Amino acid sequence: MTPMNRSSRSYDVAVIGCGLAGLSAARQCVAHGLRTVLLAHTPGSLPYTSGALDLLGVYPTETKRFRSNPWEALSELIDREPTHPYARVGLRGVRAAIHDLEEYLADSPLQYRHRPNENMAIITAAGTVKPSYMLPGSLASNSLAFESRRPTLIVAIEGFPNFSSEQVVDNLRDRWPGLRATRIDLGQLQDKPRRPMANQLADELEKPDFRARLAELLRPSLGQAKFLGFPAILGHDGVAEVCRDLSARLDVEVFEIPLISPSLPGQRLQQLMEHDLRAAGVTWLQGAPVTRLEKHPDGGLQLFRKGKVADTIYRADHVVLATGRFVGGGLEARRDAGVCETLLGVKIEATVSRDDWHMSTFLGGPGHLINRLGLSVDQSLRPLKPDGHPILPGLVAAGGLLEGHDWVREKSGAGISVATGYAAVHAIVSSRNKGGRGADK
Amino acid sequence: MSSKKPLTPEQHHARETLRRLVYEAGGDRCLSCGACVDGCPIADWNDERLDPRRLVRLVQNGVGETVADQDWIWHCTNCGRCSWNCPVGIDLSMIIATARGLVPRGDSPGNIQRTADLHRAVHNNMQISPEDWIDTVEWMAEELEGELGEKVEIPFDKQDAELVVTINSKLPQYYPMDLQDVFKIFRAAGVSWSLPRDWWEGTNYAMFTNDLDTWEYTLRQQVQKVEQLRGKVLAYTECGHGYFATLSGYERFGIEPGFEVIHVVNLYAKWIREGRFKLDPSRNPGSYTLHDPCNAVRKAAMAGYPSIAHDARYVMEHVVQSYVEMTPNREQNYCCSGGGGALLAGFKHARNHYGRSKVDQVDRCEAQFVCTPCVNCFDGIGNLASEYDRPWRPIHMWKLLARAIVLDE
Amino acid sequence: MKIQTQVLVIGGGLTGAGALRDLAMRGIDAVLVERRDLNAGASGANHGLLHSGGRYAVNDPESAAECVRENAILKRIASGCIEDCGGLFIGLPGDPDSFAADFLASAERIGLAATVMDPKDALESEPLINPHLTAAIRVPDASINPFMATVANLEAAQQLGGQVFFETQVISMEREGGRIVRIEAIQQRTGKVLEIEADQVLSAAGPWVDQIGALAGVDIPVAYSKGSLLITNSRLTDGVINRLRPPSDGDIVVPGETVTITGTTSIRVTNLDHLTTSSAEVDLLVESASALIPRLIDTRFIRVYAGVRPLVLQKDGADDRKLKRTFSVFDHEDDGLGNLATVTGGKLTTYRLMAEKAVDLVSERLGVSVQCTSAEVPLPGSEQDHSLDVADRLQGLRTPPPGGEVLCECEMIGRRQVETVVDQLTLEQHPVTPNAIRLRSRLGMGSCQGGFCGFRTIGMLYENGVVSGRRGNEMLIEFLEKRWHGIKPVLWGDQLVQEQLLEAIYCGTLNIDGAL
Repeated sequence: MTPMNRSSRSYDVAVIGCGLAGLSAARQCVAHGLRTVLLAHTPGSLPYTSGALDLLGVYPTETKRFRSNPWEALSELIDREPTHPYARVGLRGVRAAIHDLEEYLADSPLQYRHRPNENMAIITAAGTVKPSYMLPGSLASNSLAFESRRPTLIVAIEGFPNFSSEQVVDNLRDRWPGLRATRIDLGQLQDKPRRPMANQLADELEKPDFRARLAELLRPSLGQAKFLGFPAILGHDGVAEVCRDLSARLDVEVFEIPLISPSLPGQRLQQLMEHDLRAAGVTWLQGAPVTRLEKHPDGGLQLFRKGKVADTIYRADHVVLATGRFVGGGLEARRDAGVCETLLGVKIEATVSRDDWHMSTFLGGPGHLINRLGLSVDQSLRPLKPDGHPILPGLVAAGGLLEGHDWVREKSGAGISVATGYAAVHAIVSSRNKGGRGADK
Repeated sequence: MSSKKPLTPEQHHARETLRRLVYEAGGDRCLSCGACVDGCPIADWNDERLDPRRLVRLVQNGVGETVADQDWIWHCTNCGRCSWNCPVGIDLSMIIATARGLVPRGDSPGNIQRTADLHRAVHNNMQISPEDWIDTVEWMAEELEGELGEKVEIPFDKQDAELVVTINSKLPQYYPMDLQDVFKIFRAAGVSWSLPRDWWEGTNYAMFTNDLDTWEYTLRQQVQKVEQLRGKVLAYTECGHGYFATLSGYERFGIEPGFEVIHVVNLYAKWIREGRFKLDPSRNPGSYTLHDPCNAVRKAAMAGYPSIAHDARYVMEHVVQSYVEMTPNREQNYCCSGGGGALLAGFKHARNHYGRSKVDQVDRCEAQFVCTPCVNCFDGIGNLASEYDRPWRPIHMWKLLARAIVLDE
Repeated sequence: MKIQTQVLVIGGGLTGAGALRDLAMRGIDAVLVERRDLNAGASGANHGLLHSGGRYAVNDPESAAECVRENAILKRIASGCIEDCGGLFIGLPGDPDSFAADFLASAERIGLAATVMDPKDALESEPLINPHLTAAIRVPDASINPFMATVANLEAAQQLGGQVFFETQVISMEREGGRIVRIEAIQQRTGKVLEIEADQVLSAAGPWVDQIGALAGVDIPVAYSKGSLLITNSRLTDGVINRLRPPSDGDIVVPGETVTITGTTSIRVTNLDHLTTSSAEVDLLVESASALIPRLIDTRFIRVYAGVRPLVLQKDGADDRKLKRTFSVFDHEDDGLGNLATVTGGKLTTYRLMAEKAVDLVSERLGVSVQCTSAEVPLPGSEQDHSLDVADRLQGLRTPPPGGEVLCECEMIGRRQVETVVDQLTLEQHPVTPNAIRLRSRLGMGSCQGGFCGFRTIGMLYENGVVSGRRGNEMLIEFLEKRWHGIKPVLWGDQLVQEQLLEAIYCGTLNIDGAL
């Protein structure tokens, strides 16, 4: 007699991983009415990301060519790189997946925006400019400000070491003459000043009376500014209201600038999708790792979730492996044993000598070879053994851990995760429609 | 001659223990990303020099013994948010808990250790004598009889009951009326239950000083008691740390009891699902939010124990008229400010300071009442409401459920 | 710019810095030029081990005796740069039995305070050493921060009138008869040329002494032996751990403040400017050092670096490790030069003695008879009897922000500390770069290897108006790329995860690799 008895531990689909690939897969499961459990050990790498969702910003990476039309670049990539995850999914699949996400996020509290066939450009905390495809409202305004080059004030916060408005302005001033920097001390707005950290600052920004005082503090510095740029700390799930309210108070358009870690826009996206998936009935099990995945004796697959006392077994007809790359924990690089997938212990066949994993420069082109290593899959995103057969029936994989891409250079991370997460579940659905129920078929 | 002050044996032990522990906890994986600190409500307490990341670094830098000298490890409420947020899965709160255990018992602040010692010596931490225990319970049974208009038998030391029930000693000591609610619920559920005459304490403060000896001793005594009663389930009433200390203690000390441990909130939900109660949510007017106790939600989830997050919401939907979520919630909830023994540690200013994150989130959701299915959280939230002069109030889940239960005429 | 001085010192490593201080203490007017920044050669690429003498006790008693004396002197005069952590020599199964006896006998002869320990007690004091140890001998090894030591020597010299020019490379020496009459040195950043007239020239250019010699038309016989070292993410031992056997690869483990350093190898090289470490060399080091500390087999390494030992060449073609580790001062009289001296060989521990002997020669030539006092006077920062102690960092973090925010979380370096370094660099007209800050503060030496703290530091430099335009971002990229060289060979496991995160942030979030 436990609150979670044995029968409640059986699902149509188990998704492993709560990054964008896992979240996208779980969304599709919900859309298809599948009983779904999502298991994740840690928040993974999504909280590190900027919240800007890239599709394809640079192609080919060798030439570091910036692409204004991501779809055009995507077609070229699919033609030329058959093992790339985008090629596995196919152009139609990628379009369907991205379109689905566009609709979902546009109507969400984060108010994502995109242009149908065009990458947008946002300014970053380094004062660099980055192409991206879908932007949350607070970054869409960033893009508009940069595009318009209208007078803009960038605000830094005393004691917050991850953002220098002077750095942003100095790096952009030659092409944006109306850009200015200022720096404010939020301590004077608080009864007891807090150590400025992103989450704590966001707590403060969520309070209307704090914003009122902040607006008065900033008003004298505004000058001719039409836009006002902050480091990305403008609240949690209420970011849209924070931006709207500050914009209204100061008669400017307020925007956010993506930061190095920790990055609130990535956290907001993860929390939004988690909230919606839980509300849609997905069982959410985070905090303890999945340690084993294998065939269930009665058909389907079973996975073991680590418990301090004993592992808990979950059964599912299908499993979506979306455990990420090295940061997420889906891949591991060993000194003496090459690159391996961690849950199944699959050695990545294309493993090359450690000396060749990386280039002689950190940031140079065309990108480190290790970034292209990953799990081999077929067109249905089923992970394959070296002999070309699926590793486990009912198992599909999605996201960064797939082979054949270099998302950091391509600026394609979100798109790959969303497209493969979507396609993986569609592969499951089509196999179920044909009567497939995992390992018993 | 440059002289480096030699370490005392205790310092050497602390340095090496933490060095080993941080390694075993995966400290080498630390990416210096700051996710732990950024979500930590106490990392910015005035003049502090420590936060979870720095703590790991000090140990890795080879000066782990300095950690045990810092009040910070006691200001920390061991809420586990840092561990939860760590992208590479380092269990920081476990490291902090262990660091506390390296402080000589007499040097730990406030009354935490004294409370644990009492638990060991007199079997509950409020020094309630066996006579007082029985008197209080029977008094409340009589009160309940008055309300129900029928005889209420308390099943003291009943053998072979389905449930053996633990009680946080704050109830008989400070909130005896709440016992009525608890009894009313068990009665209405029609469940066979048993209330021990001895070893009924539902807390375990030894966990907060990492006093392994007392922790294990008290658990084993309780296990023996429940096994003597041949209970099938040990029901933890609304006390998060007691629940967590019991499950994690069993694992740590290799205790394999012949019964199951279940948090009472999971039982409430089960009974509601089974249709055992007739419920009228209009008896709980006003707007309610839910505070997720760290031990029974976040820390339970990380350890792989059943969490109450899902069932607590299920119960709320059935017992109150208007329910709102505060954000962040569930496993990302902020501590009530009373965790980790903080209510007994004596650092009131620190506690009130980092309670601000909690105050902010309750304010934002605009609820009138904060349901706290944990006695310590009840006190933590109550303290914040009075310190920050807020209109909202804490309320136990048993209160809400007991009020909502409609008894047949 | 023209400079006249009594002595020109070439080389800003520890020996050159020690010589500049010694000259200044004897009242001799002196100028030091350094092609790069401080400790660019062997003084910046070693274990940071202040030898007790134990390492050389059996095979090279002469060097060992020098170490015994200098170890005691430096603990007195440079206490602020030294952590007197002690050291152990441990014997493992299979090591030659006779070695311990030879070791103790030699220690007795040279005055090395060596104490035999029960292996059980050794294991208790250092729980991570190989539990199968068969013998343990305690010695007064210590850990020294060579960057702090160089800075302190230069500061002492500057207080007495010595001048220092970094990023200034000697490009020509004009010889007239038996003398060098003029030296030209170019300042890298500005391209300006210094014309230096010096009565005496002292070359302390480490592995580059032959190149300096060549400029003066003299041949200096030096062999180059590359040694690679690995740095761990955390500090694993309290003291130094050595293998009780004849010196070999990877048999020393030294705690370096917050980290552990292990090495080295010994490989003959000819190209000094592109030292690389292969994965095979890394594997060798990991495997041999893990005999001393078993955990090293799966611990996280954050960096590898290589230095070159300039060894005085001997005729018999012996293995480099068997070459004498004493030093040489060449007077170049045979080369027909009366005002050039070269000091080479030796080791970190004997830098002061090397400086003393070289300055003895130079002062004799100048006719200065002031005696050397460098062994008696404490270095700046070491006036009090206070050992280098990482625990002090925690105290240093007390300042609340603004100003007290931590820029480097791995090494716990606060903004105030970095600003102090920046102010000093500015005062000295030294280029302010993340690397120059790193050498003087340890910023960027921890597990993120500059990824996070480099970014924050650049932001601070922009804020303080120290850099402007795009220069700061260029400096950031230069810094990351410079660090990369030493990170790449240890990228597996946890350090690879760190690299992947930083790459994701720099390329994925910031697009710094191909900014529009």
